[in-house]
Amino acid sequence: MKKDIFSESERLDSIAAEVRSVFKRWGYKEIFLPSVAEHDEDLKKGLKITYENEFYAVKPDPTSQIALSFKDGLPIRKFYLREILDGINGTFQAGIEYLCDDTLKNKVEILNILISVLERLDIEDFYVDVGSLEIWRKTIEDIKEYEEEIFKALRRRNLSLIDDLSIPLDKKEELWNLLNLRDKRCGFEKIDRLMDLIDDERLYADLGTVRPLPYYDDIIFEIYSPRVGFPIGAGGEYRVGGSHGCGFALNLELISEIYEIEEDDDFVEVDGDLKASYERARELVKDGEKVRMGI
Amino acid sequence: MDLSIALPKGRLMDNTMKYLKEAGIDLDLKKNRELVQSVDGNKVVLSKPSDVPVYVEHGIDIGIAGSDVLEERKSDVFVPIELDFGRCRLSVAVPEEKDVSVEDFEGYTIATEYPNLTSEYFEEMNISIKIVGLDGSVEVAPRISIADAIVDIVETGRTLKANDLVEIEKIMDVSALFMVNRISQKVRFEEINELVEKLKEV
Repeated sequence: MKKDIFSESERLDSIAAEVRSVFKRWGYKEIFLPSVAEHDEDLKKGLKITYENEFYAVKPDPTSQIALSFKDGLPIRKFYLREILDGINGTFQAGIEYLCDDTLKNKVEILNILISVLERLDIEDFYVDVGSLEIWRKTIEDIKEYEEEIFKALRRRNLSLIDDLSIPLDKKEELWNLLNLRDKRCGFEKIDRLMDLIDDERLYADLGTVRPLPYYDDIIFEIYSPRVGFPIGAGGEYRVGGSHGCGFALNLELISEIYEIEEDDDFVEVDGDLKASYERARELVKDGEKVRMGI
Repeated sequence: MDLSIALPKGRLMDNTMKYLKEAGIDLDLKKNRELVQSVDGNKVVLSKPSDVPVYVEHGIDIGIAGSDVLEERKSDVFVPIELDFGRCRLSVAVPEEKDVSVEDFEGYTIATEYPNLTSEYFEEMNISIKIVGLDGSVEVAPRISIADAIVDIVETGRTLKANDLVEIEKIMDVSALFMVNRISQKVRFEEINELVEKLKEV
């Protein structure tokens, strides 16, 4: 069955307009990324193609694309709305990136914008789980030879994999406790500080269910709603050269499943004589009004 | 518990029901052909084992199926525990009269229900093969000359023997897995953790 592109686009258009307006209100500028980028190992996702014996990625992950284009000049506040390909599968995403030297401020700002954009969309029943890769790395410092298995266990939340490791029982317990740590506070300064600075009941410290994507440096977060079976977004902090970035991406198609579209009645209805009505409409638009032309 | 549960029809079903019962979920399923049943407030979906991970990924709270189908489907689900049943292996088998190893498979045609795992396995070995995707009774393929070898589940080896095939290489060990939807794990954190604890004790 083919998708109803017109009706879906109407919803996505409404969501995109709201998201774009929130990002702009926070002082972010839209970045228009080329759809086709030259192949680079640091470029994530995209549809890999060859053209005239060169390798390219079509619509790759924008965060990695922005990171590769970054030269200097902090702070950078950018956002994007576009389709992202993973092979031939595409999803429409809205994302935001904040690069600055203050690694606490960028996380606080990004998480506040995240909450504000979901509130603007009237999605109140969302949660943001905040985890930390650094806490995991520190915990397994003394058993580094098992890092690969432990991160595999973390990705799948697989207690049996940890059970099978040849490590002392107290270490296993420490890892199990981390996997089961999900609360308002977690006893780790960097996450608890974020919880204090962003005092929102929908934020959770969670060290066991946030997907540990490899390009994030430390703090990672996952956004979800009980009404959707998948995370509706994800984000985290990363390094670009010597600078720090933090950002998130929202899956607009999943958000569309829970978004209640509101009729925009802020239009001036214009009708009547063909010439006169369009002249009037032009004047109204020039003055900043929105017009809806009669059928 | 008010959960949605995907259960695998077929060889894993009896042990699955036993495990769940011992963990406190006693599902008295109707013996008719209803594939979605309401049982004590739970919604039970009876599905092909290979579809269980897909259902769980797409919003069913929990499910049980083999690690073979999860790896084949690449479903994004949590797997808190491996269960102590459904143990078998995914293996490469060839007709008895063939004296070959997998290193000799360049250009071979392989029949399988696991096209992704099979191509990954041979890609890693840098061996180019052709896959014939089948949905059951893969052992027939070499006998009617549409494939040179098969990749399939081997439990006792009796089916292979009955079809004049011999196992030459194991690709992976397989066991039943308890799967949890990523969002259900977050939203019903305590409840699902308690269930996992009980399953661990079975």
